[in-house]
Amino acid sequence: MQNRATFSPKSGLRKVAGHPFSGFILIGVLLIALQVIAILTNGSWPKSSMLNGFATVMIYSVVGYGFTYLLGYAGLASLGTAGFVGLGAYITSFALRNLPGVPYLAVILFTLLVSLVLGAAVGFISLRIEGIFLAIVTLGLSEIFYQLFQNWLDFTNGPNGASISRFPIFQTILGMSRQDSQRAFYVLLVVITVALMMLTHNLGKSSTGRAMLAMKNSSSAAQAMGISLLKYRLLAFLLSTAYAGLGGVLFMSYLRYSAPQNYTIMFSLNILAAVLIGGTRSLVGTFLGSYIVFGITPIFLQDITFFRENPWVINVTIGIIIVLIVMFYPGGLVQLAADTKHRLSRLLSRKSVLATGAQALTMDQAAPGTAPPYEVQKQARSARRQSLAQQLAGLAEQPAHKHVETDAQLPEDVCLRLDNLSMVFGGLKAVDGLSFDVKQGEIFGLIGPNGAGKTTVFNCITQFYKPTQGEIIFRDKAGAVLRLNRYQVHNIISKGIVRTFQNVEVIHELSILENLLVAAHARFHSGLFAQFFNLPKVRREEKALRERAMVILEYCDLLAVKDLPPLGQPYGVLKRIELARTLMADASLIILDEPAAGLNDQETIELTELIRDIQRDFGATIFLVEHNMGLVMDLCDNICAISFGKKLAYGTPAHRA
Amino acid sequence: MQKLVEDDKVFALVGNLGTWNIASSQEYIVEEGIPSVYWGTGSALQYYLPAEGNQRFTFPVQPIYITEGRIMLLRAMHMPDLEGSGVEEVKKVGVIFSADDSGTQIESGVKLQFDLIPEEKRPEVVYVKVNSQVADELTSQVAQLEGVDVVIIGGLQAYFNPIYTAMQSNPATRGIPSIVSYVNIAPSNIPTDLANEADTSDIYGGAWVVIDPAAQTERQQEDIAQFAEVLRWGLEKGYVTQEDYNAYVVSAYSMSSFIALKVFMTGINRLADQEITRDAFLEAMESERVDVAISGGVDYSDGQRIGLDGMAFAKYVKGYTDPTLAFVTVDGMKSIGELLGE
Repeated sequence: MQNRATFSPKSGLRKVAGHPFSGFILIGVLLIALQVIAILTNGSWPKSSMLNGFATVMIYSVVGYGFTYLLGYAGLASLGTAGFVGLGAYITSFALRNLPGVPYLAVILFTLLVSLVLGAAVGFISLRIEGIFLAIVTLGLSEIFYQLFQNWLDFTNGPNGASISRFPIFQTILGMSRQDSQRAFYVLLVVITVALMMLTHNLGKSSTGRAMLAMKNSSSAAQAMGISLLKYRLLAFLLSTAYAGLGGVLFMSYLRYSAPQNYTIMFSLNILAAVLIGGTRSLVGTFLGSYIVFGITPIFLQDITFFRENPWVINVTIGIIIVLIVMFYPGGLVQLAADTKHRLSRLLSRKSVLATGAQALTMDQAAPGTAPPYEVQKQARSARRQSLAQQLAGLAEQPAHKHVETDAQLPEDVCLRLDNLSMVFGGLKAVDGLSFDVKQGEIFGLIGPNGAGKTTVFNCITQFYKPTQGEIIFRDKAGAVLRLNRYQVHNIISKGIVRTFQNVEVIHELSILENLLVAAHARFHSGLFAQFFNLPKVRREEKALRERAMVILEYCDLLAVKDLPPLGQPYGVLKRIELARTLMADASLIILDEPAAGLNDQETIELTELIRDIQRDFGATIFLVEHNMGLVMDLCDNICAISFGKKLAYGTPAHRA
Repeated sequence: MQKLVEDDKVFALVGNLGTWNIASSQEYIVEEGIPSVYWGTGSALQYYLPAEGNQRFTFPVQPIYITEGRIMLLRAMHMPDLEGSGVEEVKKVGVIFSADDSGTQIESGVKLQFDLIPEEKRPEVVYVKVNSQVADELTSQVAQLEGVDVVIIGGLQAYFNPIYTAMQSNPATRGIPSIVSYVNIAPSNIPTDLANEADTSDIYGGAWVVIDPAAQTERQQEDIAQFAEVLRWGLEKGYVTQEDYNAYVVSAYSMSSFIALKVFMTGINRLADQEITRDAFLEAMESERVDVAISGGVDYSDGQRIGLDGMAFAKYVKGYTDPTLAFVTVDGMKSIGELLGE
C-alpha cells in the first residue's frame, strides 16, 4: 500500500516531467505512436508520406544534434555539413551494393571513422581561422565533396545518384517484407534519435560541454581554466562530423537513394537554420527546427491545396520565421517557450523572480534600521567563512594533476620568481629584464602607471605570452619547483596558478554554479565515453565538485544567485564569481588583475575583506595588480613598482609609503 | 512518389519529368511494379534490354542520350551532305559536353559510335569536358575547339546556353555549326539575340517530335492538331494564358505530356471491355507496336525498353517570326541504321 504521507501523484508527475530526458522520451513515444496508429488503421492515418516525413526529420535532427556541438557549444560556424552527410550516404550505398558480406554495423563504424579523420583535418584548420573565414573554408570543403559526388562515378554513380535496393538488416538479413522493414527501420530511427538526444544532452551537461561553452564565451578564460582550445575545437568538429556521417548512413539506409544535389550549400544552410530556429543548444529545439525546415512540407503542408500550388510560399514563410527568430529570439524556439513560461508564471504569481534574485546579491543584507554595525557583520562573515573553509578542507579531494618532478631551484620561502623577464612586441619592450620574488602565502602587489607592463607580466606567468627572455620559476602545492615557460597556457592551472582578468571574463551561457565547475575542469578525469553515458564515475565526480562549488559559493556570498547566469549581474558579483573560480581551482598562487576596477567604495571594501579572508583560510599566495592604492596599501605584504617594464622599487607598503 | 503509390494508390504514373526525379524513384517504382509510362529523361535509367520481372512495367518513350550521342556523331559526319550547312568536309569534330549525366552519356554515345565506324572513315574527335554553367568561365575550354569543322554540344539547357555563348565570343570558334541535344530544340532554349546574328553558329539538333509543319506527314499533322485542340481547350478554360499557348504549341516538352497520355491510353484502349489490371495493361502494351505518329512508334515486345531510336534533324531559323517556324526540319526521321546506310 502506498504511503499517503510520502506519495503524491502530482509531485511524482512533476518529477518525471522535470527530468531532462522527459522531453526526448515524449518525442520518441509520440513518433512510435504514429507508426502504431498507422498499422492499426491500415495506413489510413497517418499516411505513409507523413511517416516518411517524420523519418526524414529524425535523420536531419541527428545531423543537427552534431551541429549543436559546433555552433551551440563551441561557437564555430561550419557550412560543410552537407559534405559529411553525403559522404556517409555514399559510403553506405557503396558498401551495401558492392560488399554484401560486410555487416551493417561495420559500415556504420567505417563511415564514422572516415568522418572522424576528415573532421580532424577541418578541426586543425579551425585552429588557425575563425568566424566567417572558417565558414568560407568549410564551404570550400563542401564544394570539394560536391564535385567528388558529381564526378567520382565508380563511387557515387555521379549525378544519377546512388541507391540501395533493400533496407539493411530487416530486409537483407531478417527477410522481412519491404513495408515491414520500412516500419521496423522507422522504429530503429526513433530509438537512435532519442538515444542520441540523451547522449548529446549528457555530454553537453558534462565538463566537456562546459569546456566548449567556456571556449565559445571567452577563449582566454577557458585557457586560464585549463581548457585546451586544440582539444575541444577538434572534439567539436569530430563530434559534428561523426553525427553528420551517421546521418548520412541513416539517410541512405531509410530513403535508399542519394544524389549529389542533396548535398549542396542549401543543405548545410538548412541544417544551420534548423538549429538556429530550435535553439543552438537545445535538442528538443533542434528537433522542432528540423521539423519546420525539413518536415513541415511533406508532413503537413503538401496536403493543403494552397501550399501545393504555391510551394514558394513555404520557403518564404520559413525564411521569415528564421529572420524573426534571429532578430527577436536568438536562443530559438526554446528561448521563446522559456520566456513565455516565465511571463505566464510572473503573471500568475504576481511576484518578480528577478527581485528575489536581486535581494540576495548583497552580502547579508538586513532590514533597514535593524542592521548591526559593519564591524559586527564583518566579524560574523569572517567567522562563517573560516568555518566554511574548514568544511571545504573536509571534502573529498580530487587532484587536478599528477605529481611533477622538480626541474629548478627556489629558496624554501619563495613561491614565484621572475628572473630577468623580458617581453618584446616588435620594437616595443613591454617588460624589460624584470626580476623579483613572491613569497609563500603573502599578498604581493604589482603597481605602476597604465602601460607599465603589469598585465603583460601576468600574461607571461600564465603563459598567454611566451617570454622573449628570462625565466619564471614556481613552487607548486606539492613542493615541486617548475620552470613555467615549458608549459602551455592551459596547463598552468593544473600546476596551481589561477588568474582573474582585468575585464571580467565569465561564461555568460553558464550559470554561476557552472562557472565554478569550469574552473575545476582539470579535476574531471572521466573520459568521453563515460561522459556520454553519464556513468557512475562521472556522477561521483560531478557530485563531489558540485558540493565543493556550493561551499565556495556560500563562502563568496553567491549562493542565492548560483543558478542565474552572470549576464546582467552587478559588477561586484561578477568580480566575486571570478574570485570564487580561483578557489574552485584550489590554486596555491592566485593572480588578480585589477580586482577592484569598476567597483564602488562599498564593493571595494567587501572585496578587500574577501581577499584577506581567502589568504587567511586557504593559505594561498595572492599576486595582484591594482590601481586603487588604498586597497594595495591595505592588503599587500610586499609591493613592486614598475614603469616601462622595468622595476622601479620593491618593498613593504610602509617602506613604499 | 511514395505518397502517390502508398497513400493515393495510383494505378500508373504517367509523364514524370526530370532525370533526378526519375533516378530517385526508378528502383522503388520497379520494386512496387507500378506502370511508369514515358518518364521524361534522356538518361539510361529506364533503359532495359531485355526488361525482366517488374522492369517490364517501365514504358520509356524519349530517346536516351547514349543513343543520341551516336546519332549526333553520324549527323556531324553527314553535314557536308546538308544543303546550306556551309561545311565542305568533316575532318575534325569537337565534342564539348557537361560533366553531368546527360553530357557524359552523350560523350559515351559518340565514343561508342566512333568505335563502330571503319577506321578510314573516322574523323578526328576532340573531347572537352565542362563543369561551369557560366559563359565567362568557359573560354579556355572553348578555345580547345579551334579548327574543328562541327561542334557537338552535349548538355542540357543550363550548359548549352553558356557553351554556345562562349563559342561565339571566341573568333576561332564563332560560326562553327553546332549540333545540340534534342532537349534544347525549343525556341525558349535558344539564346535568340546571339543566335540571330548573321555570323554566329547555326544550331542543329535531333527532333524526336516533328514540329516543322512542312516536314510533317498527314498523320503527324493530325496528332499536332489534336494537341493544339487540347491546348486551346486549356486556353478557353483559363488553365493557360495566350502567351503560354504560343510557347507550348511549338514546344516538344508540352507535346511530350500529350504523347505520354497517348501512349498510356493506347494500352488502356486495347483492353476494351477487359478488367483494367496492371498485368492486363502490360500485356496490352507489349501485344503490338505503340504507334504515336507525332514522335514515331515504340515497340515494347520481347521486353524491349529502349525508347525511340530515330530522330529527324532540325535547324534553328535565324530571326524567325512565327514560333512554329523557329526550327525547320532539314532531314527526316532516321534511325542509326538508316544514317549508316544500312
